Amino acid sequence: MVAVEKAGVPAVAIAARSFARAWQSCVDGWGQPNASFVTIPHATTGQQEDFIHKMVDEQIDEIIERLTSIPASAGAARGPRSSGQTTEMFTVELDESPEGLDAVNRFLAERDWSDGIPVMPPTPAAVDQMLKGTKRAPQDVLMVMEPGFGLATVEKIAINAVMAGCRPEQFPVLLAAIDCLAQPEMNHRDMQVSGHTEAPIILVNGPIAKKAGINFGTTAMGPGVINSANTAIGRALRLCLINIGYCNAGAGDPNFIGLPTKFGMCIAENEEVSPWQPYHMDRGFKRDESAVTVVTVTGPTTIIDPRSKTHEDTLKNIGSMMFYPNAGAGGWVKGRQSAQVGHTNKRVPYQGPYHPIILSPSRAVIMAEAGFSKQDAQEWLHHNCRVSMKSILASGAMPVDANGKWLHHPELQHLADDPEATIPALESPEQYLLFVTGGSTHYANFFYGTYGIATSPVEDI
Amino acid sequence: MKLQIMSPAADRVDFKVPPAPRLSGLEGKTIGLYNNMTGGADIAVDRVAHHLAERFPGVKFERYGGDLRQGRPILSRGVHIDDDEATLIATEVDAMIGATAH
Repeated sequence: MVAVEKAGVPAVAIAARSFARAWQSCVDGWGQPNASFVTIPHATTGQQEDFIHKMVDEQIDEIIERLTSIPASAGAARGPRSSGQTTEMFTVELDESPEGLDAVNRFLAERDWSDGIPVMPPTPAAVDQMLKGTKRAPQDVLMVMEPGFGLATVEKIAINAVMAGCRPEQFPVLLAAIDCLAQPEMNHRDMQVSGHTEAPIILVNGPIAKKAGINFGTTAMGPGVINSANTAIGRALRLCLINIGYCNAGAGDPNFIGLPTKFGMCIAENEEVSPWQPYHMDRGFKRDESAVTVVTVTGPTTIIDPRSKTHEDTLKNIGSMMFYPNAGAGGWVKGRQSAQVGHTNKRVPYQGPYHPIILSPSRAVIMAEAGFSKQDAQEWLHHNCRVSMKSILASGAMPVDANGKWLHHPELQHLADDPEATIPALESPEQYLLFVTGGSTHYANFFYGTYGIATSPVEDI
Repeated sequence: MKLQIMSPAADRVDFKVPPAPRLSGLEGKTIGLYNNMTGGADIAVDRVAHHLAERFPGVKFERYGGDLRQGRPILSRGVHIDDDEATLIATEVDAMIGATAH
């Protein structure tokens, strides 16, 4: 709606009350903290018409009022600071009392500069040490992070990395993850501000995994000292999303309930045990190069499979867990999703979603022993995971031209009248992102991807 | 003991959009109704239109969102209006009411 105001048209928006802080956070970022919106008690999704009418009726006078007068500014609590200023410093007094030991955390919490868990104090010395983990200049800007349009400088990223407990040798992985988010097809704006419960997962390949101490075996995504690098890198990305992107819980981040995965997810492929080529080679890297891939996901769903003995049984079991009604499978036939970037809301179409399937090495071995390559497995899933055309057509209008011809996949239009017709759930096989890691057992974890994907090289220090 | 720490909060791109001038009245105006195609948003803006039509003689409406005809803004589920679409919309309406399901 700010775009409409920018074009000179007074605008008023209607939003659910629980999204009021999120809305305010977004319009702050879009440069109009006094943008007009009125709230209704509940989201309208799935509500009966009469109930929506009742909610709107109660606000109609306010809506009219907002078209004829400008409200006082409700937002901009965090006034923008122009770039290039010296990083603000604060002095915090500590002592041996319980409160004194926690002084830094309380200071940060009062400003909403934390994920809610105690952090390491970002002292200048600790940040300097972190910056030794990269050759990039401290004031280099990797991206403008939404919804707050914060400048992700190397130094700010380093400060958040210190807070998360990262070590300098892990810093290049974090920087590469942010390089991924900077790519438009990641659609990081929607990842940040959606009410959907979703979070970025960082997938690491190449020699950097060992160098950074990332666990790629048993328990790698769980708690524990052996997983401290995984935890710290994942957490550091979340702190950047909060403190650089201004995606604060309940404000920029309006997830309806959140997910524990939002605290951070980072894992490396178990390249030593996997029978297949590492994932970064699928993306054009050499085996001895290091790369980071980021995907936005919800879930995971654990796929338990103690019985499959053949590659087809294994894949059938995985495929059976992936799609459910109304979740958007087959949506590609209506055209690709678009990310929107910057204050102009420029659209960038991208292929998505990508669904990471975290495959235990033993599951990959079953397939490899049967002569199935990773690409064979992806083709199998692509061919066998299908959705009915009838359900796609029932889920919303198909974009058409003036003659009623489908705009995006006219070659499939003849299927519209066939009640038995099905199409692949995803547009292409590589959207089944098979990533072999963890302990070697009869499990897999399926993450439902929500947007695009990006892979970036890791700086060699 | 005093400890100096660095702010983890980023500088923000300095960008400001002044509010558009408000209308002196709605009689005879054309009002845009934008729903972002999330569930029920269309019902909400239609209800606003119902009230406006009752209260303000001559008020007209243009609908945005869910309209897939060529030449109309390419709005789809959850997508924000971009600058080009906003410029087009500004030639068609005097004010805009928008709704999202959330």
